[in-house]
Formats: sequence, C-alpha cells, structure tokens
Amino acid sequence: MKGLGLSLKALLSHYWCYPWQALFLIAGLCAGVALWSAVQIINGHARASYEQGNQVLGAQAYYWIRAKDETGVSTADYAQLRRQGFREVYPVVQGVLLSAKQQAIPIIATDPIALPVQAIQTNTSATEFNGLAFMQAPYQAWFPPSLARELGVQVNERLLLKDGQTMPPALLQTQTQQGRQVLLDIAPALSLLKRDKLSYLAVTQLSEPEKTRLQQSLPAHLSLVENRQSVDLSQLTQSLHTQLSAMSLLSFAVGLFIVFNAVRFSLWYRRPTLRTLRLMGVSVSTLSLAIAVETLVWSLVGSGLGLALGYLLSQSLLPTVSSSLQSLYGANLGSDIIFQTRTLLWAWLLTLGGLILALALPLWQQLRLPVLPSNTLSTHWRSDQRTRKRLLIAASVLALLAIFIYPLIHQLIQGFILLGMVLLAAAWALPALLASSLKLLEYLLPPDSFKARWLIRDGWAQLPALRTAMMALLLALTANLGVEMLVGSFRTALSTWLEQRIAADFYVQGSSQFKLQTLLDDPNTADWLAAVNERTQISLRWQEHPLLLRGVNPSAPDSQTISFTQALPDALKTWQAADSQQQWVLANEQLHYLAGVKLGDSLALETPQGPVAFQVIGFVHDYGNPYYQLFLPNSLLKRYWPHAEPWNTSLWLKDQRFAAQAEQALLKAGAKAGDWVEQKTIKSLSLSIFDRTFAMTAAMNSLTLWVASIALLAALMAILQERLPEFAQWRALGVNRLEQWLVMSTPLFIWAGITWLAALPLGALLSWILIHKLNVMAFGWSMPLLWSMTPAWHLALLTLGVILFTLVLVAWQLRRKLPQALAQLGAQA
Amino acid sequence: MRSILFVLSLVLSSLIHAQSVTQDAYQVLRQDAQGYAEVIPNRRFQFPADHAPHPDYRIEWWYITANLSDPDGNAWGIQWTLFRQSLSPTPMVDGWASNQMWMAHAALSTPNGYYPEQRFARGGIGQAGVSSAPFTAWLDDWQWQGDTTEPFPSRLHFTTADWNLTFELQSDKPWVLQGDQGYSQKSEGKQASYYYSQAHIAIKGKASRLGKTIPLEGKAWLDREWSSQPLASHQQGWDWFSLHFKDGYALMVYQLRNTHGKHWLSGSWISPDGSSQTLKADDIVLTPQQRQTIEVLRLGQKTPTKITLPLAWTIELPQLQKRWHISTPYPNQWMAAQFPYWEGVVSVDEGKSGMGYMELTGY
Amino acid sequence: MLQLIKVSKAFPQPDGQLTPILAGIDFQLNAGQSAALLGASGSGKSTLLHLIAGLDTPDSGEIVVRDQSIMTLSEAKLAELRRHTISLVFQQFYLISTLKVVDNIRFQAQLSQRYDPAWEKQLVDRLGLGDQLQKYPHQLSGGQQQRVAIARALLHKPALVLADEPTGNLDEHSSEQVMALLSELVKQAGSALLMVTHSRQMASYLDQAYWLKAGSLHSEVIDT
Repeated sequence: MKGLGLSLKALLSHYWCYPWQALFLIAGLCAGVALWSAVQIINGHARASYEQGNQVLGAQAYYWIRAKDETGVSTADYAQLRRQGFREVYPVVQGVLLSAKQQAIPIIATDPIALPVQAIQTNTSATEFNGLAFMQAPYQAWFPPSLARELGVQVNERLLLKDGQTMPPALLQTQTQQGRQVLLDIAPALSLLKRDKLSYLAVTQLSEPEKTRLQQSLPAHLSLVENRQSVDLSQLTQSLHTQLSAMSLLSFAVGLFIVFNAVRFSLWYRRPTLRTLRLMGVSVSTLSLAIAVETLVWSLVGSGLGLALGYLLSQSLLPTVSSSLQSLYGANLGSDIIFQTRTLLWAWLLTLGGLILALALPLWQQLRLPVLPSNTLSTHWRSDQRTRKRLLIAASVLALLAIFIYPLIHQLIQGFILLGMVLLAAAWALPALLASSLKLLEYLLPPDSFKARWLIRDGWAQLPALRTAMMALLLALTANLGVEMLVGSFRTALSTWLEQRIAADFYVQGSSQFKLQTLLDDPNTADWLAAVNERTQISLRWQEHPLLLRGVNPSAPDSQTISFTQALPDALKTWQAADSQQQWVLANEQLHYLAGVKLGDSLALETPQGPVAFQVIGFVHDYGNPYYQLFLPNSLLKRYWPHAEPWNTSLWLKDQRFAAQAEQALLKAGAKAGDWVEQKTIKSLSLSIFDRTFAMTAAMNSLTLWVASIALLAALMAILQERLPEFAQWRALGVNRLEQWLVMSTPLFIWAGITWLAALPLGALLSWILIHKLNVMAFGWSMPLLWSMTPAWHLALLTLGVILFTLVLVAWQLRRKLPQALAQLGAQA
Repeated sequence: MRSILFVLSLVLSSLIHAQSVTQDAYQVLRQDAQGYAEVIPNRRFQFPADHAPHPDYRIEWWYITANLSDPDGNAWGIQWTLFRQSLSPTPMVDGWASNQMWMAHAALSTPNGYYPEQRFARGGIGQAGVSSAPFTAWLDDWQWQGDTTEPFPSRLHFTTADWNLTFELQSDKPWVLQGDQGYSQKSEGKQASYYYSQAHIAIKGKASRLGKTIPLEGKAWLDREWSSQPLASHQQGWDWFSLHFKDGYALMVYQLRNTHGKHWLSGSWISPDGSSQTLKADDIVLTPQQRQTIEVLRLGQKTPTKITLPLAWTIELPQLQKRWHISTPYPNQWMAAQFPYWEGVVSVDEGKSGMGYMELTGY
Repeated sequence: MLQLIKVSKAFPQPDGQLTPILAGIDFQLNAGQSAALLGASGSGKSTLLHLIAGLDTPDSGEIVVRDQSIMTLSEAKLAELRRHTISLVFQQFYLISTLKVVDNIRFQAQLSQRYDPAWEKQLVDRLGLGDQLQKYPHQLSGGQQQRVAIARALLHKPALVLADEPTGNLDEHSSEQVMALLSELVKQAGSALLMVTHSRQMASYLDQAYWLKAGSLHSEVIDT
C-alpha cells in the first residue's frame, strides 16, 4: 500500500501545481450534478406534495362533499352534518382574489377548530399560533413567504384588493399543504370573496358503515365524492416532471463533457508522471487503483459540492416550478425542501459513472502502451483520426436508429430517448465535420504558403483538444435554440388563440349574484350590448380522468369563429344546430392526443339519466388546460344536466365607450365590483401564467449554455497549458504575436462558426420534435413551428463573447507565463 | 361555580399552545369585565328565558353531573358540560364572523375506567349552541334535548371514547338560586356570578359499548352560571362538592383557595322539596384528610406525570351538627383536557350516607 | 548479479522488414562492479538497457537478475524488481514535475521502504542539493536535475543502477562532475552500474567498458 499512497501523492500533486485544472474538473462535475440534482430535488419534492394531495391543510381528505350543481355547500348543511355526528367533516373555502395591482391571489380558508388535526402547525416557530387572533377581527392572512415576496407583501400589511376591500394583516407563515395560497379563517374569506357558501367540505377517513350513513344523511343536492387529487395530480404532472428531468439530464451530459475534457487533459499532462512511476517500479494495477481512488475522491467532492449547489438552485427555482404547477394543474407545493437519500445516491453514482466513463477509456489506452513508447506526434494524430472515424460511425448508426424508431414513438419518455439520440448523433458527427473543414481549408489555401500550411497543421494539433468542447457547445446551442423556438412558437400560438378565444369585452364570474336575465330585461341594455355568451359547466370523470363539459351559446360571436385543428365537414354548422338526433360536441385536442379520441368517435358519458353517447365533430386548441374538455351548446348540456349552473358570462359591447355604462348595468343586475374582469386583464393574466410556466425551462436553458461556455473555456485553457513550451519555441523562432494569435484562434473561430451553423438546423429539428412529438404527448397541445433567426443571432453573439473572453484570458495567461517558458527553453537547451 | 375553569380551558383550547400560556389564561379569568355586562345583585331571574345564553356576559355554562348505579349496584358517573365564551365585548353576530366560542367536556366514570373527551366549536354557524323552543343544548352530536322550553324533562345523548350514552332526565322541583337570590359572590371584591342549580334530577338511561348495553339509574345535578369576571387576582383554584344524601337532602359546598389569607367558602343546603338555605363561610368547615398521588397523562405527553391531590375530605356544618367523610372509589378521574382537572364520583361515608361529585382544580 | 544469455531483438522497419539490433548478446556484471556500454547511435545500447530493466522483452535469450530470470516475470513482478533492485537514470531525468525535489529524491526509497536519512544527507551533501530540496524540478538547471535523479536512484541502495546517457543533456564541465559523483556514490552504495554512453571519456570512470557493434558485444580495454 506504500506504493498506492506515494503514487496518489505524485498523481494528486498535479492538481496542486495546476489548480485551475482541478477547478474545471470540479466546475464540470458541479454544474452537471447541481442542475440535475436541483431538478431531482424539485421533482421529488413535488411528488411528495402530490402524495399529500389527498390532504387539505394537514388533514387527510379521503372524500369531498360537494354540491351537485357546483354552487358550493351552505353553512347550514355543514352544521347539520356536524350535528348528526360527522366530525370527520370540515369546511373549506377556496377562491382567487384580485389585488388592486391586478395580481391574482389564491386563498384557502377553513375553520381551525373544526380541522381534524392535532394542532395547527406553523412552519415558523417564531410566531406562535394564536387561534383567537386568527378567528377574530381583524383576523390574519397567512402568506407563504415566496408568495409574499412575489406580491410584495410585508408583515402586518393589509393588502388592498381591486374591489376596495383589504385583506387581514399579513403573517409570513404557512400550514401544511397550504401551498401557494393565502390561508384565512372562513369568516374573512367569505366576506372577501363575497360569497355565503363554502366551496366544499373535506372528509377524513370513514369506515364503510359511516360512509354509508353519511351518504344516506346527505341532502339530495350534495354528493360524496372520492378524493382522487393525489392520483390525478401525479398523472397530470408526470409530463412536466419528465420534461424537467430530461432537461436536467441534458445539463448533466453537458457537464460530463467538461469532466471528460478535464479528466482527459489531466491524464495527458500526467503521462510523464505515470511513466516515471512505472520506471520506478509502480505496477499498472497499483496505478489503476490510485486513479480509481482519485476518481472516488473527485466523485465525492463533485457530487457533494454539486448537491449543495443543487440544493441552493432548487430553492431558487422552486417558486417558479410551484407557480407553474399551480397555474397549470392547481397543485400545491409546500415550501420546505428536503433531500432524499435516493437523490444523494443517484447524484454520486451519476458523477462516478461519468468520471469512470471519462477516465476509463483514456486510462486504459495509456496503461496499455509500453512504459517507454515510441510516441510521436504522428501516432497521436493517427489515433485522433481513428477516434473521429469511430465517432462518425457511431453517429451515423445512432441517426439511422433515430429515423427508424421515430414512427414507433408513443410515450413521452421514448420521445426524450429519441431526442437524446439525435443530439448525441449530432455531437458525435461534429469532430468529423470540423476535420473536413480543415481539409477544405487545406484545399482552398495556397499550398505553397508556409503560413497557411502552418495554420492548418496547427489546427490539426488543436482539434483533439477542442473536439470535446465543441461537442458540448453544439449540444448547448442546439438545446437552447430548440427550446427558444418552442417557447416562441408556443407564445405566438397562445396569443393568437387568446385573441380568438378571449374576444368579449367583459367576463362575469358564474358564482356571483349576477343574473343575466335581469340585465337582458333592462330596456337600456340594448343600447350598449352587442352580444352575450353565457357558459355553463359540469365536471365529470371519464376513463379515470377529469372531464369538463362546457356549455356555450352557439350563436355568440366567439362561437362563430372557432377554428378547428381537425373537423368533419360542415362541423361548425352541424354543431351549432344541436337539434339533430346525434349529440355533436367539440373536443379539445387533449382528448385527441392524450386519450386517442378520433373525429367521429363517440364518448359515453354518465348523465343523471344514465349513459349518453356524444360524438366528436371537431377538435379545437385549448392551451393551458390540463383537463379533457368538451364544448357543446347550452341547450344540449341543459337537456342532460338540468342543474348545470352558469360558469361565466361574456359580454360584447357595441363600442368601447359604453364600458362605464356596462359596468353600471352589471352592478344593477346583481354583480358586485370584482365579479367581472376585462378582456385585457384576462389576456395579460394568461400570458403571465404562460411565462411563469416556461420560466423554469428558460432558466435551465441558459444554465446549460453557461455550462457549455465553461467547457469551452476549460478546453482552451488546457490547450494553452499543453502548448506553452511550443509557443515559447515559436517566440524563440521569431514568430510575432499577431502571427501566433492568427494561428491559434483561426481554427477556433472557424470551428465555433461551424458548430453554430450546425446548431441551426439541429435546433430547428429539436424544436420540431419538441413541438410535434413531445409537447403533444406531454400536454396534448399542438401548434405550428415558427422559425426565427433572432435567438440564433443572440446565441452567435453569446458564443462569440465567450470565445473572446476566453482568448483574452488565455492571452493574459500567456503573457504571464511565456517569459518563464522562454527561460526554461534556454535552460534545457 | 366549579366551572370557572371553563374559561381557562377555552383560552387554552386547541388553538393555543398549552404550556406557554397557562399563566396568561389565569390572567384572562381575572381580566377586567370592561365592555361586558356586569354581575350585580338583585337580578330577577326569568325562566325559561334564563336557560338560554347570555352573550353579553363573557362566560357561561350548562353543567350536568350524575351519580348512577348499574343493576349490580356499582357506582357510575357522568359529566356533561357545555361552555360558552364571548371572545370580544362586541354585539353578537350570526354566521362565521360570530364572536361566540363553544367547548364541551364529557366523561364517563365506570368501575373499570374513566373516559373523558373534549370538543370545540365556533358559534354563529349552528354547530354548537343553546336554544329554547324546545330547549336544546348541543355541540356536534353531543345533544341535550328538552321536550319543552324547560330543560326537564329531556334527553341527553353523547359519546366518549367508544361509549354511546343516552339518558332521560326528569325533575319537578323548583330551581335553587345560589348565593343571594342567584347572585353568587366569589370574593370580597366585586367578583361574582349569576348561579342557579337543580339538585334533584332523576336520571335513567344506558351506556353501550361494543354491542353491550348497561342500564344505569341515579340522581343528577345541573348547574347554570354566567359571569364576566369571576376570579380575583389572588385566587388560585378551587375545591367543589355536590352531594346527594340518602335521606333526600343535597349539599353544595365550595372553597376558592386564596394564595394568602383565608379561603373563600360558600354553599347551600337543599331540602328534599327543593327549598334551600345558603351557607356562609362561618357555616362550613372543609378539611382535606388525605393526599394521594396518582399518575395522569397530560395532553400532548407520552409518559404519565405524578400528581398529588387531596382525594379525601371531611365536611362539617357545625350549626346543623353534620359531619361527613368524603372519599372516592375511583382515584383516577382526571379530565385530561387542554386545561386538566380532577372531576368525579365521590362517596359520602363510604356510600352509607350518599354519593356525590367532587371537582379539584389548580393542582 | 546480472547475466545476459544469447539475447536477441529485432525491430520492424517501415517497409515491414525486420532489422536485428541485438544478435545473441552474452554479458555478465558482478555485484558492485560498474561497466560502460559504448556504441554508435542506433547500435541498440538503449534497447539493451530497456531489456534489462524489463521495459521491453527480447525476441529470444535469457536475462537473469540476481539469479532470477526476468523473462517469465509478470508486469507486477517486473515493477517489483524495478522498485527494489534496479534503479534507472536517464538522459531526460524523468523527475515528477509536480513534486518538490525532496519528494522526488525520497520517492523510490519510500516506495521500496528502504529510506535511510543518514545516507540521504550524505547523498544530498555530496551532490550539492542542500539548497534545492524545497524547489520544483523545473526551477533547477539540467545538471542539478540529473543530480536529483542520481540521488533518487541511489537512496535505496539498489543492487543495480542502469544509466542511459546520464550526461547526455549536460555540458562538458557538468558531465565530468556528475560522472565523478555517480561513479563514486555507486561504489558507496555498493550497487552495480551499467551505463550506456557514446563517450569514451565518460566510460573511463567505470571499471569495464564494452562496445556494441552490429548486434554483438565486444570487450574493450579503456585507455586512461
């Protein structure tokens, strides 16, 4: 073991002398592990939250009691159930308030003394829960700290709402499963929401006889529904988490490129050390063991630091993810992050695996050689050529395989595998492309020019070192472009769709006291009202998934301009008629893509009169909706679900100047201020939700690019270190600085340019796959791909910036080290 | 009187961290009655109106205890209490914004064990309350339901642990107005309450568990009391007795223990026909005889705590030339509520003279 | 101590033909003796040295070190042999650039667990390295680096020191000094020394000299 210790000392002393190499190794490991583990932590955290999805504010809710017409549960019905001894039942009010600054504030309220938990738990031990203060005027509003930050709410501040009311004084604390909602007592919640009914009653575990007794005790207008939140949430959010995981693995892969480079260089530099050690009698097995120990140490250091960084990262990314989850799926994530052992272990194993991958091959190559090989530059180049050829072959095989499996892909995870194959194939083919560019240059430049020959020969010398960095750059650029294009296309599609879907001037909430008939009966209404669309809604379960049925007025303006993604002939007219024997419905494309429903298919739905078949006549876009949804004329909905209540009402004005008059009329018809929203508010709210949803993607995206930049920097620094004596020799031979820079940087710029060019079609391909395969499979939303050069130019500038920065850094290093190198040149001569 | 502790428990209810605010809760009891209605002498009681809540006053309770026996002659007992508190001296409103809070304690004492339970509810939403026409006092499904506007005849139903209990209560005796015509002074200061009782209630019913039903029969006692500031600053706890004698007489005696100086003693001697005589401090000699250590489980604790209580007493009424020895067949009748106290069945002269209920607080 | 029996080695040429370098070499070196191996460039001197060190294998013949044939030894056993028995001194020094001079000197002695502080002090003093111990190899001149290599090779008193043009990188003056020290210290260490050189001048420091020519070895009397 003496040999092992000494060998380790000799090997590791390398990092002591070249700390920046250690730095890059750690940077690569950290970057990869951090991004990956951040996403893992977030995913694990989210999944843990879903498992608690059956709980409401810390109490298990196995069932809901809801009004069959979805209008809420009266306090009297609740008290009646309690008096019948159903102490498992507790009241919940949920809703959304609009702040004076037009921010949506989700709230949840319950009766803290009816909540069947041991004690109300606060996550901030500093403030003790004072129940009386919570339940008595002026009450308390518990803001999760992240939400408070987002809304800019300070402790004890009373947030002003749009309708002029103020919220109770704010406290920054949360109860279990509060999520991104403000917790209130029921009294202030009802008054702020201007409601008199509870949203629903939650029911904890019931024995079978108790359940039967409860079902029999329920008044006819209430129903006991099993709480399937946890299952639904896991199903609904799976795609989002898979997507995040894939992004994080991509970052890990890019990080691995850095590691690969760093390890390769560190081994390359230590060839003399390895040789000397062997000359002095250290066996290959001892050396292998020493390198294995080194790998272990790096993996522990790398994964440890990476995890720490990942933890910090996850903390800063969590708010965006939880707001994505809440706006998309209504899922509530707690704010406490915990490490799972699984994440720790995986992070370490991934790091170790990556390191072994990066170490094993070169080490094996190195140790296989005789101790004193006749190692000339030309053999090195030959081996580089061989590697390029092998990579190209592997890339071709992978690309062919990808083309072959493309039509067979039906699952999200397969989609990501395809994506990985395409990206990897592109990366592997890149060195061959770069080499052929040199060949082309060789062909184009005058063959008798000494400088040209020199430049090309030097390019060949740089290629093995820059190869990996360029591959990392290609991956990052491609991913970036692809995702940018996806997000851009999506945003455009969403805006266009919103234009069509949110066409009315006012939208009045269905739960308000507003009566449309009162408005229509007013003789003055005709002066300003151009059109109206009263919508109704019923929610059902179909094939174990939530299914929403939206009743609309088929003659309303927005029903006239529905644009289909697919439709049977004359779909709109047939659907609007709604009087035929067939029950025609429009479906959102989620039903098509996620449930496999085709045009003309019949869906058997449970109605109070028994199952009825509805036939799909057309599919429409329905961005942002995680649920299956059908659109049908109100008359048809009412025929089968007579108790369906208004969901919202939209009003078209004859002219914008009637807005004030319309608001007056709404008040007269029973609506209260805050019951209606204007078109622009909805649109901006929708777009802000969209932006929040993709905030995480964007964050991951730019982080990946940073990782790639580090890879490039690391590679260039390594080349510099390796070639310093050579540069010194050039100097000694009288090469001036300009010539030196020209030779050094020309191949770099050419290759970065080629990499960027290659990233353009690849990025387009990536976004095409993302949009046409993955997005459709993940969310069931389809959209046209929009090509835009803007992100490509941005990336070009960014890459150029990174290269220039690196060159400046290298120049500075060179200036610092060249005199020494020159001096040594003399000493050894 | 015994039920002053209700306020303590309410304030210390599940909403508040018990340990940290115990002292503060006492403070609440001693708070100035500012804003609430005051208890003054010479109030005319009106029935059935006074059976209903008096929300102007801070605290109020409906307190039933009963000594029962099974067919084998074993001693059983029940406690069923409904407490009300106004959280603020503002006018009462209905609905979720109500300032009324309700709490209930129930316990069953059996030869084989003691089964206590506590519950809470907010007022204003119909989950708990007391109403007349007909008389009803309830919290969730713990219900005391009269046939008329009067509390008797009535049915009492509640559950505790897995016991299901139903009783019928009957009384035709007049109400006993405690103290000075229902004005019950609690200290030399102005601490006082309105206090009336019914000592002669015939109770009959059954206790069921796991498909087994035990018929029970005996005598019950009802206390009604409301106040805004019942405790003086130096009063620490109290010992309270309600006794049914075999000869048909009944006795209520309590002492408020002062931290210094003499304890505040009061009581009433009730004839079989319901007429009563108020007992002043000089009329009563109350002497603890024997202290006993029991193990109790305090709320939120996993291991039992030892607590020493005076579980045997002598009560003397020198003017009436009466002297009784009070002891309990079941030492462990510890109401392990948020604010815990001892309340349970006691025997008079080992059961030879009668049975009763004892309440010990502040230990 | 060291015995070569009919050792042959041939190298392939770019045209695919095998060119014999060593043709049936017989050679013997006794313990504590020193010998120089002279020859023109490409005569196979270094190849012979590599074969003895177990860095390369002969096509045929037998190499015996301390009564043990090294032909059948595994890579690990050969490493063991180099660790304990054979020290190498090269023209290019082969120091570990990332370790300080002192660590370089002690390296092999620690490896073979024969570190002797007194002997180390003697070596360092004799070689004039006292002020250089805390420096890195690249901070030393070529002559100094070779002295470090000599100190490293001798500190564990190996049975055999193989030197390949140890003064090849040094100027005449340094060469003389280094050579004088090497021959003196090898004697002190009690090691045998086989040194490859192209210089008769350097060869004159050693007990015997051999001439490698056309694949075979010729004994040579050194004119002093």
